[in-house]
Amino acid sequence: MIKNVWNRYRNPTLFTLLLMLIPAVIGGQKHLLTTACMVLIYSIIAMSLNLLMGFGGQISIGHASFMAIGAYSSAIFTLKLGIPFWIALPAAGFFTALIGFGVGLPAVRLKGHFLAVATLGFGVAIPELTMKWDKLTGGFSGLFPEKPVLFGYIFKSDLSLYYLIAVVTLLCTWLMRNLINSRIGRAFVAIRESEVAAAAMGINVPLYKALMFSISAFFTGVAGSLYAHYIGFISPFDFNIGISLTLLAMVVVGGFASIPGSFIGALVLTLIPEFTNHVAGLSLVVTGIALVLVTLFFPDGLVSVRKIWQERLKKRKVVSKHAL
Amino acid sequence: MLFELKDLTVQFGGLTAVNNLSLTIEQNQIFSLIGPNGAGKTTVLNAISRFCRPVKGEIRFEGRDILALKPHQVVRAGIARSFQNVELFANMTVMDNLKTGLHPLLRSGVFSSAFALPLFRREEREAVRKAEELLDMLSMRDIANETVKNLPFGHQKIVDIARALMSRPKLLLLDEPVAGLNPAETEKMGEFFCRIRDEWGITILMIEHDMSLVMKISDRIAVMDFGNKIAEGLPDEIQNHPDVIEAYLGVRDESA
Repeated sequence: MIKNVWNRYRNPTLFTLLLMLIPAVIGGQKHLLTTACMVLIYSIIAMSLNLLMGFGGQISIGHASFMAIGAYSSAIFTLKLGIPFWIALPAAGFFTALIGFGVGLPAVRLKGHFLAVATLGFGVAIPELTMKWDKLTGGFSGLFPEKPVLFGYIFKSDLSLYYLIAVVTLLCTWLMRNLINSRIGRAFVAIRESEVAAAAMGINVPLYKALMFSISAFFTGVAGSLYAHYIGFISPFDFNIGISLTLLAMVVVGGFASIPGSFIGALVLTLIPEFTNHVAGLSLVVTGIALVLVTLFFPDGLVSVRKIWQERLKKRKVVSKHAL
Repeated sequence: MLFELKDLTVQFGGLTAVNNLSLTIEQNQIFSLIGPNGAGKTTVLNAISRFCRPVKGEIRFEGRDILALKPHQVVRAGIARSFQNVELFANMTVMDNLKTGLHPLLRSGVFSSAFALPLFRREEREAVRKAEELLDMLSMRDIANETVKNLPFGHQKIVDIARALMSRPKLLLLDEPVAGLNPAETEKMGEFFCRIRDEWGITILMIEHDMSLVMKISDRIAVMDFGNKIAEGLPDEIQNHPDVIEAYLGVRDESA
């Protein structure tokens, strides 16, 4: 009985502890704490992109645009409309979800390459739009969202910001995990596996495809809002197509249809530029090589390393038994 | 009368796959649709599942015309189906496949699912219980957590049927349910079909080539050839019907 409870709560508990202890491990090194914050923000996005791609079998090559919509809407809600941060954060998510539903509608009719091109168009259009619509977005010069405020408490220190981001990340992870294990998540996977059978099981395939985009956009929008208020400055360049492709790479490197994989992917692809930025252009080269190596040796992503390792151990045990 | 096809005609381009087919299926019947390959049997099922649009005719279920329904609404109306070549969700476990079969009966939306509200928890428990009950009936409880693609074909076929049964349909469409099963498995499935007809009151429309099974469990049989219905009746009548023998074996050349 106790063992069952432990098995069920072990991973979430350990993961929560890990996130809470990271600042203690890092100590006072400010740039590492910043990196940790960025890893968490990108983890939320990698998870939501994975929901769409890994679980739902769709593709989005312009996901940074959802991040942009979340970031800009949150900035505009707080700066121009005077809405407090704690409302602006989910509101930015819902607004992005609405846009996501609209973007998802073409996905109902488009498949594979065609859907890729359509979402690529979206990924190019939104940064361009934020550039040109300078009355609302500040154009080139961007916007300066204020630091998050919660019940009068201003998240000014890096440590407080880290904990805010960590809590939101944990909440998003919990929500997405629940969704994946629900009838909604099963419907997404069913559509990935066989659209004909999904329809025969009573799943409204067009609606669920649009819903998939909408849910993915929601969490990406929330992450975008966190990004905006954490960095304190957003411009169209933060969400260009290069970022979209990095997000895609996070899902591939980490592992399709895996929540831990999304964290690993976000970690690796945030750390690579962090440790290689002293030589111009080096980070792109390393990222490229890492991508090739992972897809070559671990087509199921880095998250599969553990499984492969366990299987190898099992085999060795069997072999040694036979040797005796 | 539970189900009725009236003058159903399906054409693909210039080819008439189903021609003026009329059938009536009564409650609690096992109704078999047989005929040589290419006779248009699967097309009939696809028309009922709304995967293809007939050019003419009516499909009535419980007195209501279901031609207006979309494919995903058919199961909600009470008609579920299995597939000839197994259309399972291959990377899901058996349990998740069965739970997906329950999709139309569950009500948890995005919010209650995401926040794991009591409704969601209760429904998930209920789904697991229903799936386990079905697996017990099929004595396949031990493979509940296996990934479907790792199962032998025979087991996959049974899971495909079990998934269709999860929503407790009134009418079950089976497309060659025992093709690829060995004689022992076939016999077991035959008993299972009779059991769900008698205990659950499920009506079955079955396409099958295994004549011994068809003759043994069918309450009524219709024979199709080249899109036309050439015979209908009780198993005994069909077995000795001259047109049926001709369709399966060809015409005897009298001059020889």
